[in-house]
Amino acid sequence: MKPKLFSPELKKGSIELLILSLLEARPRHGYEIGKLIEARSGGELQFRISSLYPTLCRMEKKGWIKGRWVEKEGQRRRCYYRLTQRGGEALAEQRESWSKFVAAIHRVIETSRA
Amino acid sequence: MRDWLGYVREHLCLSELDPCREEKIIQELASQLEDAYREYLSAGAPEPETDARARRHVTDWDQLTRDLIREEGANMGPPIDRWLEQSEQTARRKGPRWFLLGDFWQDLRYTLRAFRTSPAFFLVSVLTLGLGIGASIAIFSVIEAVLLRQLPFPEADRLVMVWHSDVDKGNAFPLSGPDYYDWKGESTSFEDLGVYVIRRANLSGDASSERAQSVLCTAGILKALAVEPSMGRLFLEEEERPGADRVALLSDNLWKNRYGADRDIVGSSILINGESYSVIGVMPSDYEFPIPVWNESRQPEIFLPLTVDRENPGRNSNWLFSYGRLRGGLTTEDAEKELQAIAARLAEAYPDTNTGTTARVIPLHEGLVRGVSQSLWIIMGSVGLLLLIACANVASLLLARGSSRQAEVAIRASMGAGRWRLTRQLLTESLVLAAAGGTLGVLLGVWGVDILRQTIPANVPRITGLQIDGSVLLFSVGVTLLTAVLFGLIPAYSRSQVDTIQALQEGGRSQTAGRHRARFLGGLVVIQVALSLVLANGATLMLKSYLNVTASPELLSPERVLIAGISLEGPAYESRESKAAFWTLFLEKLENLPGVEHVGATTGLPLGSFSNASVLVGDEPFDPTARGNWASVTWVTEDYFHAVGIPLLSGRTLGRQDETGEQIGVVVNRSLADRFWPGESALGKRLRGSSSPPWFDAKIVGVVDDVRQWGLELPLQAEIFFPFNLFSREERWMVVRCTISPLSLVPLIREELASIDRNVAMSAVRTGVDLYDDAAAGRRFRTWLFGLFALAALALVSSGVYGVLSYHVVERRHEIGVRRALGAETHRVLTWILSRGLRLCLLGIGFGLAGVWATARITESMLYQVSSTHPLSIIAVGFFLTIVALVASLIPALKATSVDPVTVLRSE
Repeated sequence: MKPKLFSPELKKGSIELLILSLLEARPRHGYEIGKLIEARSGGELQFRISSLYPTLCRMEKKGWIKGRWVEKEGQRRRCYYRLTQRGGEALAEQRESWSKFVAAIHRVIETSRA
Repeated sequence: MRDWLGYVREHLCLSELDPCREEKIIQELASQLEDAYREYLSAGAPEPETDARARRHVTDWDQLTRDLIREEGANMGPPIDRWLEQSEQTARRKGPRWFLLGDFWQDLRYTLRAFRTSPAFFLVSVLTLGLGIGASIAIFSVIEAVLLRQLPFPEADRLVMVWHSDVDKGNAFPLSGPDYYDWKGESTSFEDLGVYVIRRANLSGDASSERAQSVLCTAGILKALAVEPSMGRLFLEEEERPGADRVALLSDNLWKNRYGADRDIVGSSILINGESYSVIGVMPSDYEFPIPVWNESRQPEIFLPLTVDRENPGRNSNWLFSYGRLRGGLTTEDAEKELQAIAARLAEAYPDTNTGTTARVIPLHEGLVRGVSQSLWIIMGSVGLLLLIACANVASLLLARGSSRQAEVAIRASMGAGRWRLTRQLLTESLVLAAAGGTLGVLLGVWGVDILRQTIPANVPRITGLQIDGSVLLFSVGVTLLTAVLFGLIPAYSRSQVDTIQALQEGGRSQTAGRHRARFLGGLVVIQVALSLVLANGATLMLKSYLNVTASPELLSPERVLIAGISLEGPAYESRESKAAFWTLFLEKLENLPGVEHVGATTGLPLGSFSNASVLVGDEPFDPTARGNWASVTWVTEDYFHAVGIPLLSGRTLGRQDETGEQIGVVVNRSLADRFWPGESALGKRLRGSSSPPWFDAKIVGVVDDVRQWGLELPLQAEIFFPFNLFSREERWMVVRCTISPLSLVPLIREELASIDRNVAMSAVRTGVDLYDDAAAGRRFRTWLFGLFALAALALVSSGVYGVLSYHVVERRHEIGVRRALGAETHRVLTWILSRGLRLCLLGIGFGLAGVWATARITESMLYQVSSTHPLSIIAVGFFLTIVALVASLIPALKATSVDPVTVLRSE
């Protein structure tokens, strides 16, 4: 079955958290981030380059991530992003907010069903 | 496979962003699209499909552009940016032949954007260039008006000055009446030849009396100059003859100011020197009678025919200045040879008066500006030095700025831009800077010309024509282009040479490029210091010369002395007795005015008396072949010395008794007494005129102190003072010493003068202090100008040293951090940076000394009683430059001490 795409608003609110969490483990290049989101979400979340890249720019301007051109042996030159200290703090903050948000939503909808 | 880089560049337009940032975004998007493409291809999809799938990652390029601009926080650029972009695209669409123009628009766009992100750099550079270019334009406009512009007469290259000259020493002096007639009669080299003298004329009549500058000239002078009056006609030769109708030509200025621009003035009568003259014409408004700089006369208001007696005064009275127009095809050398042959014949025919004299002919333009041309060219050279300092300053700014833009240049190089393309883009930056600097320079030049017009000494010839005209603007364009090349070429070539990989690695630093740049920058500072030393040393020496020139005015309390010029012209004052009567009555009336201590009159004031004569000392026989003893000659009243403030050293001043008898009484100055009677008293000694028979026989009755006669800077002359009433010359000077403000007496004096004769006026009213001020005006102006150049140079040097050391600190930040981490104390870091500034300064001083020595001969001509290699001046200037350099080095040095080693090392 063709995976359903979530509404743009939902995706917009979560994209920064997604990127930050993916960069927590190690630096990644832009296309890799998009592919990883799609893979880990089981295809539920798909971001085109045109929507992902401006977000990367915004986050870099905020100082949460830092891009750097790297040329590895046998590979083309790519811009790899890494998490900064500020980005780590933002990630922790957003994780907490997101957990609280999801928990709050859950309480409302479960209570309504009950 | 698709060229993804070209594909992104074609669709994405981020001209509002910094060029470096724009390139990064383009490269990254292209990289991601290529990743997508390769992924789809490796999954086995056919090529057209993978291409389409990759392209679908971005369907709305406009939206992406907006999103990126928003995220980057950039604003839409100014209209000029968008216009340049459209121009570039238009040019490129036209085809390959227009690519160069397209490249130029692109370069211009990048340049303007780059300057918008560095407004401080742009402003400082433009101000620096504007200063140098503006000064060059202002001074060149003076050069152009005085030295380069053709004289405003038809075929001006045929106009010449004609002089008598010593055969042995070559000194030039005016013609005598008889010699003038003989030269004119026998010579065939001239189309027209005439003579003139400058006098004052008393204008009276319905309006108040006025003393106006006049030229008395023969018809040949005005014919030679070949300028027709705007109304009426020029003189005729018959109007020069004694008894001819009295006619006059007016200047346009006088016609407008005194006669209300009366259109019927031609043919009407006006009162000049109490006599009626018929106005025959009015000269054009832009007419300028050629007057040499040493004459120090203003432009004439009236032109009157000059009657030159063939016999009287004789051949030993040289009082006529001569201009002529050569016949077509003849040179000044041809005319000079001919006149010298005639002079030789006259020397044989009149050995008593003409032995040892010959003729000299020089181009009129050269004769007019002799005395100022060398000074002007030296000033132009100094401005050139200032401009070079400004160029070196901006070049160092560009070079220092280059290091922070290495990545941008590297990106362009990595994208295929060749070295020439990069150099062209960087040269465009220089051209834009130069154009902005040149525009500011023109504005500053216009302002400078305005100031010069008001401050430049009035006796500089042709200065009334000072303006910014076509040739000055052409010069501005030339100077602007030259500065662009001078300050732009080396930095552009240096910056276009970039190690791409090193420059693109973050934190990477090209050690070699940094060292080269540092060496260049250091070299530029050394050049600036060297040139500044030459300028500042010149300014210091000029100041010393000015102080020498104006030190110790010889007159006692000149601020209490009032001076005014009075001319007794016309039939009422033809005889010596009538003049004597006027002056006796006038001086008596002045003595009775309140506050007046002493009154006197003279034919020649201190610092401005140019009459001299050859004298026989004691019983020395007259020898026409001998050089003779020359002395300045002046006629003065009894109380003149007390009035003007010349101390009497021995004997007495002149009295009535000295005017008569076989031997008249004269007073001499100390120089004459010491020269002819060293170690003994000159009182009672004999002096006679060097002629046969002697034109005077005198006994010395008094000796006064020396006062410079021929200006402040020419050597002191031996001087003889004759009794006032013995001379019949019309122009005299009134001198009044008072206990109150001298100028407050002027209205009263005018009243007394009018009560004696309403047709006589006085002019050139000033105090004794003004006498010195006026005499020093030229030197004061030059000193002020050089001082200004030196100050500007020092300001540029200090900013240059500051800039270079700031760059040095930034470049060496890592090294400083390491040194601090290894335990280097604050004072050691401070000393390290300060010593670099000091080293550059000392090296510059070394080269500057060579410059001072090389220009010593040129500078010498501008100085007075001080050597161009005066050690004290060089030491003082060198010391001052060192202080300036150290102070300029202080802020960067203090910044270096604030470098945090932890931050620096962590960031690496």
